[in-house]
Amino acid sequence: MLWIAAAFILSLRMPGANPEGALSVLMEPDGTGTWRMLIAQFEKENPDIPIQMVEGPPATNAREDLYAASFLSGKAGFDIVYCDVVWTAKFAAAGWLRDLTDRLSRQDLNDFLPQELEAGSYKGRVYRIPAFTDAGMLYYRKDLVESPPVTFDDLERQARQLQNGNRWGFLWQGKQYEGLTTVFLEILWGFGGEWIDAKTKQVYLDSREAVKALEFLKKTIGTISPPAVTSYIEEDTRTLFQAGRAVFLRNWPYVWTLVRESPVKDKVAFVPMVHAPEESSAATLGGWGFAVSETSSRVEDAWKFVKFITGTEQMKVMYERMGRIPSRRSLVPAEFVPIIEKARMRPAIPEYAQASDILQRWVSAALTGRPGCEEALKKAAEETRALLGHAK
Amino acid sequence: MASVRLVNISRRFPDGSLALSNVSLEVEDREVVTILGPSGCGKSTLLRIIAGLDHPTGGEVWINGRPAAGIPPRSRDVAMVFQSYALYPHMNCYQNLALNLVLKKVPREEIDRRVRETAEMLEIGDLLDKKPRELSGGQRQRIALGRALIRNPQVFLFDEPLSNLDALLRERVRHELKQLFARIQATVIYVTHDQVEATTLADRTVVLDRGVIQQAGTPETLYRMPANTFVASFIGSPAMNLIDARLEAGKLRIGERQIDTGLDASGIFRIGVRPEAIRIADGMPAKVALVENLGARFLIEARVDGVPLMVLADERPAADSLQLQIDPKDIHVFDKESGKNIRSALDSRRIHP
Amino acid sequence: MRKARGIVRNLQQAGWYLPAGILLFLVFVYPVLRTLVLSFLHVNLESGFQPVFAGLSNFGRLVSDTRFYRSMQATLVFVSVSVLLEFVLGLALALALEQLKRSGRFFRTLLLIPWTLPTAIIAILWMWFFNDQYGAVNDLLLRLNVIEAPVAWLAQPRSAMAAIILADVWKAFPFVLIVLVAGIQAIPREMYEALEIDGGTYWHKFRYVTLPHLLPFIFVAVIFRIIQAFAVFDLVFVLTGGGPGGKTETISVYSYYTFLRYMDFGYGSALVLVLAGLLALIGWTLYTLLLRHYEPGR
Repeated sequence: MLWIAAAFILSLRMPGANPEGALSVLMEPDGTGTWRMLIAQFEKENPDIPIQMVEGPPATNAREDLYAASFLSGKAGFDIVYCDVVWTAKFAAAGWLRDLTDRLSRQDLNDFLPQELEAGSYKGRVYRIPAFTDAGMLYYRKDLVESPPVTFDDLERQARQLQNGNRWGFLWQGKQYEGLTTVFLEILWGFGGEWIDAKTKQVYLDSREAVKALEFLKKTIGTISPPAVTSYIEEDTRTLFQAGRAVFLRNWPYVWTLVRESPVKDKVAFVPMVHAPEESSAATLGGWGFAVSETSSRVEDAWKFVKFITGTEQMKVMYERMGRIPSRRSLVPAEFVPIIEKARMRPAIPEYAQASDILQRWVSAALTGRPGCEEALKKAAEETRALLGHAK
Repeated sequence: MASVRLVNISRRFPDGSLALSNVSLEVEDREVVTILGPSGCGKSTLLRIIAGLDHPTGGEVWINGRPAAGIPPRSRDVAMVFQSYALYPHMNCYQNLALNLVLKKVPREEIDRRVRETAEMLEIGDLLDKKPRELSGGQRQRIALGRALIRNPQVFLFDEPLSNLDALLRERVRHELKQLFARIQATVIYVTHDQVEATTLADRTVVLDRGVIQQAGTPETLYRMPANTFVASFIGSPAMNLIDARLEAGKLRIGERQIDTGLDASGIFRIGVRPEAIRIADGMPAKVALVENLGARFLIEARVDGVPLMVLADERPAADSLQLQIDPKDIHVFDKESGKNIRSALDSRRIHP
Repeated sequence: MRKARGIVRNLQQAGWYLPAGILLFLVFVYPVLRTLVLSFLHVNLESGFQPVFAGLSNFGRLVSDTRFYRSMQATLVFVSVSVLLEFVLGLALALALEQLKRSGRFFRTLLLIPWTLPTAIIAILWMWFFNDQYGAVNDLLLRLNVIEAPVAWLAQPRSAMAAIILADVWKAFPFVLIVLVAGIQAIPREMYEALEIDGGTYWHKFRYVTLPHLLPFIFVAVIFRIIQAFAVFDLVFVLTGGGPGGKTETISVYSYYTFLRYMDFGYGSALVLVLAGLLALIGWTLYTLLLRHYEPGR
């Protein structure tokens, strides 16, 4: 059944070899028109390399699946891959991305944020050139909060004090999806815990820190966070926060651009995520970059585009027009520096999708149901070990 | 058993068409009445109205001396045998027979006794474990019959019960029905489009056309004294010869000959003569146009001065020409416009004093 | 000579079947065979998508895979509850609409609309309906005083499953309805009249005429719905993604993840095969249970 469906999807597949000989890339919906503008600029400078941009679905995992389906079909698919941090290892391990390590100049190597470079690498080789970076952070209502919280206890106490019948204390993303992994990791790291060591493939989910992190999240539900928080994704929380219905919000930098055009525009500020007293703050690293497909017959042209789109001037445009934080040290706006410095990457392992699913399922299960936090994490740890051990 | 009385029954359908118009009929206790007519004449509607499945837009139905209006079908104590038999396909024959009694909460022992009795009467004892789809058409017909019989109702209603059977089987079942009616001494109203069924089974036959009763009477009356050309042509086989001809002071002129009908009438009339009433004997000279072999007898198409006449004869004519004789009392005279038999008042008294 | 001509004729006859045969092979036989072969291989990221013979190990892994059991459990709950509700609702409305005669036809068309919409669209629609803050479901229940505070439908496993089931029932009961209406219309009027004369009430008419006549139609509608419900994907994928806690993850969603996200084609094929086998078993059981006493057609 699934095969028939898959075969059908593949047969309808995207442009591939298009008649004009354009290079193809699958992107997010280009709401602001920025990507189109940048591509037009590139085509003007390189009239012999037309680019065909396909606007994919907004959900990143849907685009991940489309890329995967395209590569699996075996035929020449997309020439350029617009790639999330967490796909790189899987796509590289599958042999779908071209090794770009030797094409980077020393100057670029020094300028790109080291975490972003590392997140674009697999087994020491660079496959993905970063375009912009993302990191989780804590927005708060500066008209209500006197001094922004530093520790988990601060956050909880202030949230309790400042919330009322029409306003929740703390909003985060609790639906069972990748966003839950990123939230949980920030809490976990803030308590000094760890998930997976990408190099040794050790799993630390059954540690005391992990239990504390999960217990903290669980305690917020119904007290300082709405009961429906376990069904929320980024946009649900942003809408509520912008409507003035929450004191604190954990979200990504993109909110900063939007919140300044909302009813609470002059009442919002942000700080790095809170942490345990003895520990330090952490942000989950996100971010997107560009890679060259192994199946592309025009590697040099594709590389030209990747080099262009990750260039300094283009990153500035992305920040100005879309609020995307440049992934070059020299360009990170001052107010985001403290956040970006705390950013840590999720383990760059080929089995990332499956490992993250295990974590999401058990964290979500503990947040919404019977298994205690300790038991859920123990199960998650066991399953993750089985997965990584199975993979050897 | 009971009588059924219909008083001025009319039925107009929502689309405006008139299915029955002023139908009045009295069915005596233990009488077998057949209702005969072509399809669409309203005979099934009449039956459904008696059963209570349909309701008249005018007139009254009386069953056993009581008005039936407002009484639902299940309380009228009538049984109906449908053309399609309407057997319950998922139940075996035993259950099909028993269902009515089960619904009436008759004790189980009695149900069993009556099922066996009915089965014995209809010789269907070996079919009781079978389902309708395992039976032949004739067997299904018997089960349908048994389902009506077992109830011992006041009135039996039959809606073309034999029309789904092949010709041979139909004849046999018709014969069995005749015997059955005699045995159970029931009030029966039987609808059919087959004149043989209608006349063989009935004490009395009602001929219906376009929602109006054309004639009601014993099969003999209908045969001998049809009230109009419709009845005349519908009853009897081969069909009656009907020709337009002139009467002069009661004298009918065919070719060279004149036949005195004994009527005091002049003008153009519709004249009817049954093929079996024409004898081959000295009389009118005629030419043989066609001979059909019916087995026992021969049907001859003869022409008298070009006028075609069907003649039923015992033997094949020896030559191309022959002579025909008609008894004046066998000549039916109908009004050309209304089709009414203008002699009926006179003669019916003579034939049936 | 004659034999040779016979062979030629046979070949000619075979030629007529060829286009249909090729089509059938391409869309049915080939994928099934391929899935069967894949289920005995390791084809995944680890093997670099190079097939490695796996014997029965994919099936062995399935036996000890708790996620497989959980997804099977979620699927069974979803299928049994939603198909049962669709059947009851479809039957009730089919009977009711039959009473309405002419205006029934209008309502029937109206009720058919959800069935004609793509499931993905319906899923997005219901996601908004179930939104705890702005959703129509909470709004309605609050107005009717059924609930005192907004319910976070998709935030808890049980209510999330209920939400998915509700959305599915809304979409799929018109299918049951339309099949059963067709069945009811095929019942000869004389059957009801015979029973009416025999003294049957409305309940008896349903019990002795409608239901037995509808059985083959019920079988078709229910078996179709069961097969479709087993393969439920869009609704779950959009509404919950399988959460919370994996409690609404159905077997098809799990298969999808295994194929396209984990890229484990050998194991994914084993999952799909088990699902297909289970469906065949359910179909066969239903067939013998429902239709042993009543064959359609006569």
